[in-house]
Amino acid sequence: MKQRQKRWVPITGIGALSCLGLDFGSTYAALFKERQLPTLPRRFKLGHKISYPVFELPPSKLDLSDPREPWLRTSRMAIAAATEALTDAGWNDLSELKHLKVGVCIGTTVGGSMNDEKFYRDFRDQKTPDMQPINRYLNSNPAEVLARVFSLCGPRLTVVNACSSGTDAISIGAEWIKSGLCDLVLAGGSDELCRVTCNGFISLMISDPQPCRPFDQSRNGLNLGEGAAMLVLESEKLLQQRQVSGTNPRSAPPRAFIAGSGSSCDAWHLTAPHPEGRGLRRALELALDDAKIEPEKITFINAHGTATNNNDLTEGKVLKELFPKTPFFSTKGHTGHTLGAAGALEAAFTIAMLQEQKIPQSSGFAQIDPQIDHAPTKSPQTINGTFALSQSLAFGGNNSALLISLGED
Amino acid sequence: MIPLAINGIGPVGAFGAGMEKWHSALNGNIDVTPETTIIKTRDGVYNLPIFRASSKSLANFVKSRKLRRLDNFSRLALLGAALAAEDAEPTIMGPRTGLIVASAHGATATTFAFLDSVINDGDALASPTLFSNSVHNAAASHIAEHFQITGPNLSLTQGADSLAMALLTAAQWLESNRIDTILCGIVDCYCDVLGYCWQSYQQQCNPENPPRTYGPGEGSLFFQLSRAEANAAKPKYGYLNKIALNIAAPPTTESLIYSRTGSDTKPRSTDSKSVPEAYKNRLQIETTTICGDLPIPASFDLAAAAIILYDRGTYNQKKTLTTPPFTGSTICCWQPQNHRKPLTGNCYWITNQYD
Repeated sequence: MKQRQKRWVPITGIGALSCLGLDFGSTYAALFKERQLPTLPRRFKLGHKISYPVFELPPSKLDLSDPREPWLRTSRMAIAAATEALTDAGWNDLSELKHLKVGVCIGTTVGGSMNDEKFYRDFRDQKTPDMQPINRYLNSNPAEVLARVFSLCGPRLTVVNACSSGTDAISIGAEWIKSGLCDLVLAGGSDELCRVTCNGFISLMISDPQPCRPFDQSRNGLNLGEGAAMLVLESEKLLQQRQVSGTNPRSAPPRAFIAGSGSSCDAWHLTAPHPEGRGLRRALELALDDAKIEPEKITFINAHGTATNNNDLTEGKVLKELFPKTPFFSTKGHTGHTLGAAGALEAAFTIAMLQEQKIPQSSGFAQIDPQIDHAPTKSPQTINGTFALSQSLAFGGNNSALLISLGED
Repeated sequence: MIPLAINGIGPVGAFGAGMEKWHSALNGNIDVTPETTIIKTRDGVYNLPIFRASSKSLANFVKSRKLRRLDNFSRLALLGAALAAEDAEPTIMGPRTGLIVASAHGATATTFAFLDSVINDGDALASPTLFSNSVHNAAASHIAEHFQITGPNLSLTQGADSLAMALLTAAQWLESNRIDTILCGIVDCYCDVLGYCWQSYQQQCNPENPPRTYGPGEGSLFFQLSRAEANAAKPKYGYLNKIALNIAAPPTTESLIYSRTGSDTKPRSTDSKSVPEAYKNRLQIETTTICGDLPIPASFDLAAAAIILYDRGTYNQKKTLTTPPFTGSTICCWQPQNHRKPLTGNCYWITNQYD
C-alpha cells in the first residue's frame, strides 16, 4: 500500500478528449503510437498564403453548430471530459454530489472571450445583430456551466491565465480541498480552436506551417490544438466516507495525488519568457518545497514544450540546470498547443504515465539544439519512480508546476 | 477563510481615481457627467450615457513611454493597482506578493480592435500587438512587470462572482503562506459592443424603456490585502472577515449594504420598486449615479463599506446611500445573483474589529 503525506490531494478520476480521441483512454494510448500529423482546420478557413495546420478533434456531435446551442464548444468539451472524469472516479449516481461541497475550477482562453466574429461584422455593418451569440458567450463560462449541468453548489472559478490556465486551475482546486473549502473539486481546462486565436498566433509569427518540433534545433513554432481534460480531486475524509458507505466502486486506491504546486510570474515581458527562466525556476522550486520532495526524486518531467524558439530555449535551459539527469518530453507534438486545456491534459497524461511506469518519446524531436544542450526522450521508456512534474509557461510571464505523486512505498 | 487586513484601496471610475475622490463621490460632492453615445439596436436609436473612467493620473506612476504599449483595460487596471499600493504605503513587491485581476469580460475593446485589423486588412495582416493585449491576462502581466510582482499571478473571469472568487483565492494564498501581501482587484472597460448589448438587454427586460439617468460604466478597483494579525496595528480599512457564496438570504443582525445589482446576464435595476421589502430599512447603496452600471459592482460596495468603517461618516446622501446611517462595527455587503434559481447571493463581511 502506497503511503502519502497528509496534505497531498487525492486524484480519483480523469476525463479528457483531444485530437487523439474522444475519451482519455484513446487520447493517452495514442501518445505511444505513431504520430498523427496536424491537418488544415475543418470548421473554419484562414486566409493566409501559407497553410497552418492544427490538431482538431475528430468529427463528432461536438461539431454541430446549431445556432440555438446554448453553450460554446469549449464548454461542451468540458462537460464531456467532466462526465468521463466523474464516472472514472466512481460517481455513477451524480445526485449524491448535491449533498457535498463540490467546487469547479476550469482554465480556458477562448471560453472566456467575447469574440464572435460574425456578430461583430454585423455590428460594424450596423445590421443590429441578434443577441444569441452574446447570450451563448454569457451562458458559457466553463465553471458555471459545469456547476449548472451537474447541479453543484460549491465555488466556481474560471482561470484565464493564458497557456498555464489548466495547471493553475488544478493547483487552485487542490488548495480548495486542502483548506476544507470543498469535499470534491472538478479541476481542469478546456479550449476550442477558433479563427481569432489562430490568426493571433500567426500574427505573432510563432505558428509553424509544418508539424511542430518541440525542443528540436529546427523548431519553428507551435501548432494550435483543442481539447479538454478534467481531474476529480477529493478530500481524504470524503474518500474514507465513500469506502465505508460502499458508494465508491473503485477497489484500487486513488490514481495519484497532487503532492505540490508552485506558481511564479516572470514580471518581465508580455509575450516572452524571462531569458534565464527566473519565474519557471521559482515555480519548480516552490512545487518541490510544497511537496517536501528533493529534485532527485523526480522521475520525469512533462514539459510545456510548445516548439516556439523562446519557450523551448528557456525551458530547456532551466531543466538542464535543475534536473540534469531527469528525462523530459513534450506531448504537444501529438496534441498541439491546446492553450487553456494544455496544463490539464498534460497533468492527466502525467498521472497515467506514473501509473503505467512508462513515458513516451518527445514527438517531433530529432536534433539537439546546441543552445539548449539538453535532449528530451527520443523513444518510449519504462520508468521506476513515484514523482513527476508537469509544467506550464504562459503569455504574461506566468509559470506553474504541479508535482504529482503515486504515493511513497 | 482567514480574516484579511484591508491596507489599501485603489478605486478608478467615472468619479475620478483614488480614495479621496471615492469618498467625495459617496458624499455626493462630485457631479459625474457621463459621455453620450448613440447606440442603434433592433428597437431603435438611443443616446446612451456612458460612465467613462480616465487613466490620466497613471502618468504619476508610470513613464509615458511605457504607457504607449498599454490599452485602456490595462491602464485602468494598472492605475487601480498603483493607487491601492500607494494607499497601503508601503507595499513590498517581489516573490512574496501575489496579484489577482478579475474581470467580467476582459479586454473586449482590444479584442474587437484586433478583429477590426482582421476585417479591414485581412487575416494575413492581423495586428500582433492588439492580439497580445487582448489576451485576458495582459493587464496582470503589465501590473506584475511594473511592480516586479513575481509571486503567483491569477487572472479570472466569473461574471458577477468574479470579486468573491478573487478575494477567496487571495485568502487561500495568504492562509497557505504562499504570499504575505496581495494586490487583488477587478477591472472592466466599456466598448460600443458592450453598449449595444447593455441597451439590448435593458430593452428585453423592460420593453417600455423608461428614461434612465445611468448607463454602462467602466473602472477598476484594487485592494491591498494581508493576513490579519491580532497583535498588529489595526489596518486602515478594517478586515474582510468572511465571504459566503450562494446563500439564500443575507444576515439580519448586522448592518447591511444592499447593492441594487442585477446579474451578469441581465441589467441591474435602479428602480426603487425592485428593492425587496426586507431590505428597505437597511443601508442601500446606489453607485450607478457615480460609476455607471458595472459588471462587478460589489467591489465598489466593499470600498464604500470600508470607507464607512474608516471614518464612521454620516453617509446619508440621497444620491448614493440611503438611510439609516451606520452605527455598528460590521457591515455586510449583499450581492444578489438574480440569474440563479432559486435566487441566491454572495455576502461579504467587513468589520473594524479583529475577530
